[in-house]
Amino acid sequence: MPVAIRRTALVLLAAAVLFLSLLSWQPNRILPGVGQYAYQLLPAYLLAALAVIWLLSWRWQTAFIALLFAFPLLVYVASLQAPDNNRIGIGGAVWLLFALSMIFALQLPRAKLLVALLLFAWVGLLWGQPMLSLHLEFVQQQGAFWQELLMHLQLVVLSLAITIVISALLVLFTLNRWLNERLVFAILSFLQTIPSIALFGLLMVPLSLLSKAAPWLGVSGIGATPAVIALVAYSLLPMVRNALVGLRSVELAVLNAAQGMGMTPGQIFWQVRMPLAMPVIIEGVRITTVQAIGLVVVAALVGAGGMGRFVFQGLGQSAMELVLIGALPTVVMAILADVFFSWLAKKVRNDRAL
Amino acid sequence: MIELSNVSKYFGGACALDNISLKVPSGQLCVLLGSSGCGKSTLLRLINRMLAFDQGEVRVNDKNIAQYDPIQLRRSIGYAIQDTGLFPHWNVRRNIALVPSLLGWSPERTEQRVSTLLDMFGIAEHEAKMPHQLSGGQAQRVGVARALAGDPDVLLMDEPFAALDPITRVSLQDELLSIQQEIGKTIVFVTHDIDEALKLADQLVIMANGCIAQSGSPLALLKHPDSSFVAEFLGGHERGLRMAKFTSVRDLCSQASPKREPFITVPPDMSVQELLSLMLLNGCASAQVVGDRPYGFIAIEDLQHVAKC
Ligand SMILES: Nc1ncnc2c1ncn2[C@@H]1O[C@H](COP(=O)(O)OP(=O)(O)OP(=O)(O)O)[C@@H](O)[C@H]1O
Ligand SMILES: [Mg+2]
Repeated sequence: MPVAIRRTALVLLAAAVLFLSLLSWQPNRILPGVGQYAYQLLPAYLLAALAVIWLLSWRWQTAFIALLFAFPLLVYVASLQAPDNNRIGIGGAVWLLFALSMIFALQLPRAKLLVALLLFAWVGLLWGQPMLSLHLEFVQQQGAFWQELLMHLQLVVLSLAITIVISALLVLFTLNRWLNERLVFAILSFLQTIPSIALFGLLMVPLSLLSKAAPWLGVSGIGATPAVIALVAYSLLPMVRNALVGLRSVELAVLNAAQGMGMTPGQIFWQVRMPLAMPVIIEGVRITTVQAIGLVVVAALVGAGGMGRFVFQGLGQSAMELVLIGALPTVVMAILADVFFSWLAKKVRNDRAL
Repeated sequence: MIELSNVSKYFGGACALDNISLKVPSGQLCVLLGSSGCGKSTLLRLINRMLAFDQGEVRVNDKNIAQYDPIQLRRSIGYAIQDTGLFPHWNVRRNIALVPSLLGWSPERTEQRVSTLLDMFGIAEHEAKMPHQLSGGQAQRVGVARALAGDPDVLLMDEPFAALDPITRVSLQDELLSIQQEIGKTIVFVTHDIDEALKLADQLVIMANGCIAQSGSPLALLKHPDSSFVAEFLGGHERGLRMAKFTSVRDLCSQASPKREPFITVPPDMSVQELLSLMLLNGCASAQVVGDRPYGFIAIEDLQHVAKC
């Protein structure tokens, strides 16, 4: 690991211990919490031991890894000192420790395994300390949580499916020159520049008119319909661009040979162009999916549901824990989608290179 | 057999091929030679209907190509190109098996055919490799093997050995010649390498600006160029050395024993060019030609008759 990163981390850690509260005691949900610092909660010998391990780990990687796993454990130990019936707020130092340990883990060998295990440890902390406000908030929202998570995924999958269909048509028409390519990209880029909140709002008016005029369509000005339409509008540009780039990047010599050998246009497209363009197309799906997972949060504003519901509720009530209940799963979903599609694209590439 | 009669092709207003007539008899290797942009590739692509032409008629195996279904026509004609155009996502074996599978051959027959070709081109050990794992020469061999896979009567080759080092190139040319001896396809071969053209051609066609400047056997063209263009194209002053290269000592030697000694001994099928080189190297002016029997002698004065024999 680069020395510069370690030095920066050292400074940040020291700052975390000295200037940021580790946890906070909150007598009830309304009253503000009282910040507690690491040096107040943890005995000096423990902090000293940590410093020694830290210095040792300069040479000794195992010590360093042990340190990363010690962080959630220490926070747990500290949280045991909370007065009875107090909610335990999570302080800035904990967030910093969490973020730093993730960044470090990513630099170490076997990073993926390490990150997974560390996440496990931190979630274990959340699970093991029921008085943590995040835990309490989650328990309270549990019924709605799974429902909204499902809704979130449904919105993403639905808009992805529609995007793929429309993109396929657009790509087909552009490749055959039935549509002017520059016009297509001008429109798609324009859509991309509309701020998402504005787009959701703009869609409400025509859609509610439409739902009045044709109730049998089942659309409405609020809810899933404007959300999906807006998501599709944002997803089209990366999808169409990647598909076109992928399909165009197939070498001319290859297409020439395919034609000269007597492949039909259909065979050339499905057996040559598509497989060769596939990694780039999957890359497009990856960008689109990650983007859509994030955007669905905003769609909660027009009543579409999803993780955004917790985020906006939390913002309204100044309840940061509630915001996190919406935000953290969104981040995790986005990362998972990113990892999955990156893996898929790489696999498709490797299959070719074998 | 391939026969073009009065074929013209325009790109927009520009004339790419102007009233071309050309006949390639069955089993002959016809080389199209010409500088860049003279229309060689265009001519080739007319034959398998990858391009439509504006005037004239093209016949393949005595049938007007307009009467073929273009897809079927292309499957019945082998096609190899400069950049190989191998499919990067298929391994060598699958690349070669393309046309047989398009033709709907049974898997066993396809397997057998592919194996035969792999052996013929000495690339059996690479059968499972992907194209990007091949050297340039190996990739070109696969490209030519793929073109032959459907066992076509007619083979179109567009600079298949370009972009190779001279040694690999020559060995591929030798391979092609020996394979051609065996299989006797009708081949149209495009190149802009004069030595390659002279070496491979049964019939050499020199093109310029969409027209045929002259066609005939390589030696005939070397000896009797119609125009100063053809003479220049075939090497200008060096045309004599090329002629010597395509004449064997057997054709020049005489029974009269040489006036001068010492002399070297050469085989009868050695080219006159090589003999000249040996004479220069050894500082001698005459040679004895010996094969399965003594053929006679050849002196440096005899070389002046190269253009006449
Ligand atoms: N699709 C096309 N559209 C317009 N012009 C073309 C097209 N294909 C070829 N030409 C023109 O036709 C002429 C002949 O091209 P062709 O590819 O047959 O040349 P070539 O003899 O094969 O050259 P090279 O040795 O460089 O491959 C050139 O002037 C070229 O610019
Ligand atoms: Mg060409």
